[in-house]
Formats: sequence, structure tokens, C-alpha cells
Amino acid sequence: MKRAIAHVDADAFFASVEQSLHPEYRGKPLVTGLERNIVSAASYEAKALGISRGIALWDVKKICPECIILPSDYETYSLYSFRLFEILRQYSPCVEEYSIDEAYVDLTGVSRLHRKSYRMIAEEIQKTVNKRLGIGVSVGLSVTKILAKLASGLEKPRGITIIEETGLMEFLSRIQVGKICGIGPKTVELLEKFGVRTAGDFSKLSEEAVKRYTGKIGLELWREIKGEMVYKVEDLPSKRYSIIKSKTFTPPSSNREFIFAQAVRNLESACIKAQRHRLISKRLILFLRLNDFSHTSFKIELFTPTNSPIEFIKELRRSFEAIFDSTKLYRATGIALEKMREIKEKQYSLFDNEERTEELECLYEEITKMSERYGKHVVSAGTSLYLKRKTDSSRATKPIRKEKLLPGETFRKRIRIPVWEIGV
Amino acid sequence: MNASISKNDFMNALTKVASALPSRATSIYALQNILLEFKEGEGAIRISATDLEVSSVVDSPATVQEEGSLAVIGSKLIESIRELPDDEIILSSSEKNVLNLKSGKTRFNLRGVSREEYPTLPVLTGEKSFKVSSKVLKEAIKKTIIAVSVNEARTFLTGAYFTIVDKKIRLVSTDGHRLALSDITAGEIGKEKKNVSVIIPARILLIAAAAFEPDEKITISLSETHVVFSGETGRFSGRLIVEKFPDYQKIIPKKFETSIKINRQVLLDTLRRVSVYSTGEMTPVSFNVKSGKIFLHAESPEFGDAQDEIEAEVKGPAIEINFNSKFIQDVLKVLTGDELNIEMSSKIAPALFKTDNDKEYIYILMPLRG
Repeated sequence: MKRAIAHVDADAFFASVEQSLHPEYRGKPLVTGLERNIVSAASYEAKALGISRGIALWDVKKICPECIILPSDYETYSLYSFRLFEILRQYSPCVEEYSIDEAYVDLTGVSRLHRKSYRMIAEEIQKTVNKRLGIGVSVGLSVTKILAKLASGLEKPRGITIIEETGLMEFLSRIQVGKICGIGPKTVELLEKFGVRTAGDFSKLSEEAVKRYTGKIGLELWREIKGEMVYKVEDLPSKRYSIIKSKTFTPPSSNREFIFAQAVRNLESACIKAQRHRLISKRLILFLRLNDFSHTSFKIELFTPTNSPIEFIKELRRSFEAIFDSTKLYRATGIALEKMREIKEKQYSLFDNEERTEELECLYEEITKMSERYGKHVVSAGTSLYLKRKTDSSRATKPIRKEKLLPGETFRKRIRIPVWEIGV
Repeated sequence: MNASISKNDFMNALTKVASALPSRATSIYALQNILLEFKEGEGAIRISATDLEVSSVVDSPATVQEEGSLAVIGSKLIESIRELPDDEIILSSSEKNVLNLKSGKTRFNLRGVSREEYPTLPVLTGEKSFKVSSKVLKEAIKKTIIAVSVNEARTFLTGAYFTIVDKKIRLVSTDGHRLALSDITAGEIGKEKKNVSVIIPARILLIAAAAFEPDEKITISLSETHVVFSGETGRFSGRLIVEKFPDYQKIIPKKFETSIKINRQVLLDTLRRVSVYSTGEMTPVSFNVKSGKIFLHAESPEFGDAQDEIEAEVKGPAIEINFNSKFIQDVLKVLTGDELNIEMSSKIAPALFKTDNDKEYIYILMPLRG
């Protein structure tokens, strides 16, 4: 193999972590997501019963009344995630943390170091992760990232799939084009019109055709599945940041002020995070998710980048009014701050009162200090008065890690070890 | 259909028209064509192209023996003409919708479509019209276009504001960080003294500025929705941006604290040197303005830093201020006079750039945070 890119993907990650911490849950159907009333991860035992990510918990109870339902314990999951990446770094220094539970590892050339074939390294990664963390991973191995990702998804759980360049075409002709990461349902529909059903068909298209049907991204994917490397394994975190905050509420609502208050609360949460990392942004995306899971969104662009919610709120109101429809039921709002940059890189704008902006930044710095002492959102926009108090008791269920602090821990500062509670 | 034309003239005209061809391959296929109309009476071939946003019509002088018209793919026609060996080209059509090109021993037969399949260009009757010399217009466009926003999110900033102030045509552009303002004194504004305020897209301004020769008399006609620039070279029209332009007068500062006189070319050269170490999207350069001197400093976290100094006549208090180097270089490149005046007030307030040579022009720039 001229290159060896591995995609390591944890199997049912959140559920596996819970099963690893609680041996009594092993082999049983288990889901996480109690705090949101929808499944955020399902164990393979639950998946076998037809339970999948995103379905409502009352449906889970209908399908399987004895299913174990837990609140998501993101802190512990991120500790496991951190350890998973540390294990991968023992095999190659070039590891890209792609999401909480998956990573790309550039293994090119390291077979000499480990005196093992790439397949043996993949097997060893799988074994080590299982032994040390008690969770299963699937490994895909190929010459490009897209092919590696495609491979890891083929034989889950605990699979090892290698796509070599020899026989690549024959292999691709057996794969649905929608399996390629980055080709969504809309593109699949479009490609079908032109007789493209399999990844093999897609790879046989001419460069012009690919460009016409799928644009620049599609062209990159096309090169990748033909074995030509376009995407490098990025072992350094990207410099372009974005912050996304979204919250689902139950029951769904069509109350204008309540939903707007939800959006503002997300904006405030996003801004608090931005302030903590000393980042500013001028592009904001508001999205509203409807009860039928469809969504609408609106992009806002300010002249001058900032991280004070007040600067965004006026524009947010305007765009909210533009997309909000009071005859419909909404279940979530979300805010994304995009193209963030460091606070020191700021071009002042002609159309804003820059002195006021800087004063607001000072004000928000003080508010952040107060939040650290008295809790998040202790000072917030007036619209938050429309937020209702939490009533649903299951939503208040917290993971153990949040309920019980270890000696010396505070809410924000934690000792980085998972807690294992043994029932007596 | 039959005509002969000089390759140079034809090529020249085609290039001017081609800028109105659609840039993306996904648009309506018929628009990829260039329409050719052989006009015996006018002794010219009329060449037209449009992408429905802008359209260009240029008459290229030719000896027309027989009238006729057809449309052929623009890029292929230009490629063909460029490769023809001799200066004289004979255009004819022996078969329906096929253009025969003959030059020396070379024969090209280019398949096209009939004129009926080509969209009819709107005939625009401007309700308000202004006359200017092409030299002045080209100059004003060149100086204004630098501050037009390239961000499609704010359409109203992607063009230049065209208005009449004190019996002068005024072009204003801004991207929110800087503002360029050009007045055209040497124009005839006729009766249209007031109520002219439209936004002309940057693209049509660039097309017109590039197409006209320096010594033409240009008529600018405006309707509610369109602008037409016409001169001897041809007619270039485009759809206006029908939106509200921000109140630019409010942001032009009336008074300043520190005023600097400096040689434009020296500043441009120094800025270029220092900018080698001014990296990233913002290309920041800090100006430390003291009495009689300006110290420039740029720093790149990856590579290192650069310092330089320039003699200058400074009135008012000393000031430290940061700018995006590119934004200053942009204006220094389009100005002509040697003696540059920079006025500034604080490190958070806009600065103004002008020269004595370019009296009708000002450039306002906001600083960068340090």
C-alpha cells in the first residue's frame, strides 16, 4: 500500500462506555439520552431490537420495557474519548480527532517501526482499545480518508475492513453511492437521475460530469474514492473555530416569545463560550427545528465581529420574525457562531459604534466573572423571563458524575478520571 | 449572410462583449452564445452577449455584403478567431445555422443556433441621462471600485452608489471597513439635479470601465431598474441593485486631531517592505506617528517582525494606530498625486486619505484593533 490511512470508529460509543463502567449492563439493551427524552446512543443489544439514534424514549419503552435508559454523561464520554486518542497516538503521531468517537490515523510507514503489517497494526489497535477501555472499535484501512471511513462502516461492530487499490473498482461497484461520507440523500437522488447508483458508477463519471452534478466538494470525494489523496490527516486542531449551541424543549411549542427566549439563551451560552476562548465572530446562524424534524435557518452577518449577545439580539429578532411561523410547532432552537477569530484580530467597522462595542465587551467580561461565581446566566437578557422553569422530572436526571463531586473538585474543575460506582 | 472583417477589430470587440457571458456553466445554455448580426447599412457586425444581469452590445466595423444573423457559442468563437492565421476573416453561412469562417487556407464551420433561440435583449429607455467623458468615468470607477464589498451577504454593498450632489455625479462605495468617494465635476447632468440615488453593481462598472476607449463621450442612462452606459464602442447595460444604500454622509468625519503630510510613493514602498512580515487575513501594520516621523511595524507570529520609518510632516498629537496594510496599499495604488494627506483622530476612529492631485476623491478607513 502506498499510503495507509486508518479510520477508527467506536461502536455505539456512549452506550459502550456505560457498559464498560457498569458490568451489570453488559449484554443488555441500553440507551442514553434520558435528559433529552430521545435516544442519543443505543447499545448493539438495543439496536438488534430496532432501537436507533434519534427515536423517542416512549417508543423505546414500547419496543422494550426492560431497556436500560440513562442520562448522557458527556464528561465521562470525553474522558474515554481522550484516552482512545492517546492509545491511537502510540501507533502514529499523526492522529486527527474527527469527532468524539472517531479518528483518522496516518499509519503510512509505521509498519516498519512496529515490525507488523498494517492489518496487524489495525488488529492490535482494536485489541488494545478493548483491553484498556472495554469498548469496541471498528477500523477501516485504505489509501485515502474517504475510503478508510467507508471501510470502517462496513463491518460494524468490531470489524476490520481493508480497501486496497487492487480490485478497488470491483469493490466500489458493490457499494451504494450514498455510503460515501459527504454524499447525502439529495445528491443520491440527483445522481440516480444520471444512472449513478453505486460508488463504482460514481467513480466512472468524467471529471466535468462530477463537477456539474456535485460541485467542488463532490469532485474532491470523487478523487478520494479513486485512491487519490485530497484530504490530509490533520493532526493539528483547525484554526477556524465555530461554536454551536442548541437545545430541545418538551413539549413542542408555538409560543413566539418562549421560542425566541430559547434562541437568545442559546446565543448567550455560545457567547459565554466565545468569551472564555477569547474569540469573536460576525456570522451567526439561527435555526429552528420543527416538530416534524424539518428545520428552517437564517444567516446573520454583522459588520463588526463581537462576542456580546446584545450586538446580535437585534438582528436575531429580525431574522427570527422572518422565519417563525406561529401556526407550527417547534421543538428546538439553535445558534451557530461561525468563522470565529481571535479577539485581537479585529477590523473596526464604519457603521458601528465601536466605543460602545468595546464597552459592552468589558461589561460582558464582568458578567462572565459573575457567572463563574453565581452560576451561568445569572445575568441574562430580559427575554429569558419567558423561559419556563423545568417541570419534567426525567429531564432533571443527571449522570452520577455530575451529582457527586470527588474531593477537591468544583463544578468546572474536575479530576480527569471516570467514576466507577459499584452498587453494594 | 456574408461579411469580411479584420481579425484585430473582431477580436477586440469580442473580448469586450465576452465579459457579459455567464461565468458559470450551470446557467441557461442559450446564454453561452454570442449573437452576431450582420448590418449592411451600418457597415458593421453587431455583437451581443448577456447573462440576463448585464448585457454588452458592440458594433465592429466590417464590410457586409449580405445581411443575416445567428448565435454561436461564445468561447468557441473567440478560440477560433484567435487561432485564425490571416488578418482578413470572411464570415458567411452556406447552411442554416452554421457559421463559416475563412482565413488564409483555414476553414472553420461553427455550428450555432438561429437568432430566435437567443433571448431578446431588453431595449432600455433611460429616463434620466448624464454625459461624461470616458477618461473621467474610467478614473472615477477605478478609484471607487476598490472599496466595494465582495461579500454577497450584503448585496447593497456589492455595488457603487450613484448620486448627484452639488450638480456633480458622485460615486460612493463601502464594504463597511472603508469608504471611497469620487465626484465627477466634468459631467453634464442636464435637468436631473435631485432624486438620483441608485446602486450600480460592481460588475457592470468594471465591464464599462474596461471596454471604453479613453476619448469617448459616454451617456449614462438610468431607469428604475437598469443602467446603460453607451458610447462609440458600444452599449453596456445592467440591472441595478434595488436596495437602500447606507447613510454614508453620517460616517464621514468632520474634524480630526492629527494631520500628516507624506510622500505617497515612499509610503507605498515602505508599506510593501514591512508587509512581508504582515501575515494572516488582516495583514496588520502598526503606525507610530510622532513629530516629523512615522515608525511602521509589522509582526508575524510564525516568521518574525519588520520595522521601518518615514519622514513626514505631522501636525497635532502623536498617535499609535493599526491598519490593514492591504487596505492602505489599495488606495495608494489608485491615487496619482505625490503629496498624500492622512487625517486621524484616535486608534478607534476612522482615518481619511486624500491627495491634492485627486481633489474630488476621499478614502476613509477604519483601523484594526491592536
